[in-house]
This record gives sequence, C-alpha cells and structure tokens, in this order.
Amino acid sequence: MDHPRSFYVIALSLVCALGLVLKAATMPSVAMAGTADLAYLDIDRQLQRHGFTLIGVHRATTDGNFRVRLYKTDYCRRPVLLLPLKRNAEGALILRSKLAGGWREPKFVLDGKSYANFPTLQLWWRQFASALQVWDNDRRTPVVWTVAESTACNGSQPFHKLLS
Amino acid sequence: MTTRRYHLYAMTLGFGAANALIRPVIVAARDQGPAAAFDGFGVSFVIWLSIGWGLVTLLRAPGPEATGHDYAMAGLAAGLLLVPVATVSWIVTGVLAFFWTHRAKSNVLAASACAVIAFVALRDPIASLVLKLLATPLLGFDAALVAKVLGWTDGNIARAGNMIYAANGHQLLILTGCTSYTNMSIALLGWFAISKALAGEDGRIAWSLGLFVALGIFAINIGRLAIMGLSPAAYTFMHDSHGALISELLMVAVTVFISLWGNRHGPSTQFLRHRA
Repeated sequence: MDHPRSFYVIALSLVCALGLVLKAATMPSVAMAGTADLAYLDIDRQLQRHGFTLIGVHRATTDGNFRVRLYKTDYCRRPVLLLPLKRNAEGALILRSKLAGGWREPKFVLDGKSYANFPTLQLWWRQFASALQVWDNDRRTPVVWTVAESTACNGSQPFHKLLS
Repeated sequence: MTTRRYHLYAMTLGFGAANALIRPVIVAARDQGPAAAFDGFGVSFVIWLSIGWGLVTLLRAPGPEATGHDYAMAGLAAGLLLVPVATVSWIVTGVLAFFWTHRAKSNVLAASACAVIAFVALRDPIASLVLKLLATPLLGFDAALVAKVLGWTDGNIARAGNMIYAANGHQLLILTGCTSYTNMSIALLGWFAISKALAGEDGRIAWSLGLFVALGIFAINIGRLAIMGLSPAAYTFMHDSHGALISELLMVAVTVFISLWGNRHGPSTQFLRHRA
C-alpha cells in the first residue's frame, strides 16, 4: 500500500512541476509593456493608411507610464491626440486635464467601439479573454484609446473604425 | 514510506504558490537581473514571508498519515495547476488552503498555516479584480481626502476624479499602485500572518486590531499622498527618494507594532498564560 502512495506523491510533484514549466513556456514573447508597444505599432501602421502621421510622443506623467501620441492629419490643423490606457480607468482623466479650450471632449475607443466614459467592464472582459489565450505568444495587451480632436478640425473621424 | 498529511499540504500549496508566482519572478529577473532579489522579484516581501512561514509550519507540524481524501484533493489541484494562468493558480491554491484550514482543525498551527496561505492566495485575484472594476471610486475617494488635507494649507485646491490641482500649478494624479486599498490589503495580510503565527493554540484573533492596522495604513498613505501634492520637489522626495522608504518603513512598523502589541496583550496570550 505504501509504494503506490509514494508513486502517487512523485507523480503529483511531477504534474505540479509540469504546471510550472507550462507557465514559463506560455509567457508572452516580450513583457506586457512590450506587447502594448506592439499594439501601438499596429495602430501607427493602421492610422498611417488613413492619412495619420505620428509626429511625436509626449510623456503625460513624470514616471513616463502614460504617453500621449500626436498625429498630423489633413483634416485638422492641430494634431490629433491619442493616449493608450492598458490597466484600468486610472488614467482616464489625463488627456482632459492636459487640454485647455478648443478641444472636443475626449472619447474612449476599445475593440471598434466608441464610449463617452471609460469602458471599465469591457476592458476587464477583454483582459480576461486575453489571459486565457495562453497559446498565442503574439497576443496583444488590450488597450483603451483615449482620443482628443480639436474643435477646429473639419469634422470628426470614426476612430472606433480606425482603431479596431 | 508514508506521507504525513501536512507534508502533502505543504507540497501541494507550495507548488500552487510557485505556479502563481513564477511569471512575475521570471519577468523581474529578466528585466532587472540579480538586483530584482532586493525588490522581492516584484512581489511584496510580506507575501514571501507569509507563504514561507505557512509552508515551514506545515512541514514541522506533526500530523496523521494522509488519507485518500487528501490525495484526491491534491491530485485535483495539481490537474488545475496545469492551466497556465497565474490567477487560476492563485484561486486553486486559495480554495484548497481554505478547505484544508477546516480539515486541519485538530492542529491549530497547521490550520493557521493553511489560513495564512489561503489569505495570501485569495488576496491577489480579489485585489486585482477590485482594482480593475472599482478603480474610479477607490482612487476618487483617496483623492478627495488628499484634497481635503491639502485644503488645510491651501484654499485653492481643486479636484476632478483622481486628479488634484494645486494653486501653484502642481498636479497630482493618484494611480492604482498608490491607493490606500493596495497598501491596506498588504498590511492586513501582514497583520493576519503575525496574529495567526502568535495566536498559538487559542487561534482567536483580536479582529479589532485589524481595523486599527487598516486605519493606521490609511492615515499614513493619505499623509504621504498629501505631501506629494504640495510641490514637484515634495513629490520627488516622497515618490522616488528617501520619503518613499520612510513611509514604507512607517507602514511596516505600524502593522508589526499593532499586531505584536495586540497579541501580547490580547485575549489569545492571556488564554495561553492561564493554560501555562
């Protein structure tokens, strides 16, 4: 009776150790910040096809964790501002606080949908779904884009389509 | 060769915690090298110490031979630990430790060890969920209190959500890592671990002390954030310089002092003294 139990304990240890190996093997190919950077590159390429040119990235906070991306376009004399938020609603007010008069109320875009308020539940659900895609080493960190356009722009762009 | 029940518990819960922690440890080691060890590999030292105490206590606890029921639970947990998601590992470890807390009732120390590991394991997914879904009200509440404190010296303080605007143009944005909730949940883990480790056979914990720990940490954190809101220089001192270390040491000191004081003078120790 003792021997089977010893084998069972050894097998149990091996299964638990296999879990450790699986977690190490299925880590994203770069750190989370890196996957977010890849998401930004995707967006840059996507926006470029629609006539947006990245002209600068500005630190919005002293620690540099929040960076506003400035895009030059044909339909607007002032640049269009995009701020990616990847954790939660903690940075939802950053863009609004940086803008004086002459700007439209910033909106939030996630997965092809535009929101007036930060989409907390939707982002959480996307993060949860992304965490389950363990076998996809190229998965991107879900990002909510805060978008601000000047009131002087000729109309407004459908960012929910451009950023999807 | 026989396997003792609490040794089986220690092995399974240890593997569970390792499965949950392996990714942040790898990321910290990869990004910072050996220096990551001084930062606990991105994991609070309170968590390492609590898990370590729990596992060592289980390994040292005398106990009966493990039963088929224990093996079945451990086997089920090992299977679930194969899911390569850290949150799943925390939940599996937490639920298992919680269940085993009741199974180990005959040995108060072993039960305490399981309870501490359950607290560590369940704290992470719960805190993560709360901070994702309730970031706006939690950060706003902290900001409102910080603005109130700053208002005692500067009447022209304005606040919008988690942003504070001082009259001198200085702006303070309160982020998730600085919330009182985050600091309180770690401090309460420290209090719980110390109380469980010292409560001995009695197992009763002066729960009111947890409230004092939470209030103490809350007050220190609001004070720390209020100093950050004074000026850019004050912010740098409190966030990136000696001020950060001072406030962290103060939080540890308050947690340890209240927990130790309560267990020296609380009902648990008196109960033990009478027994002795």
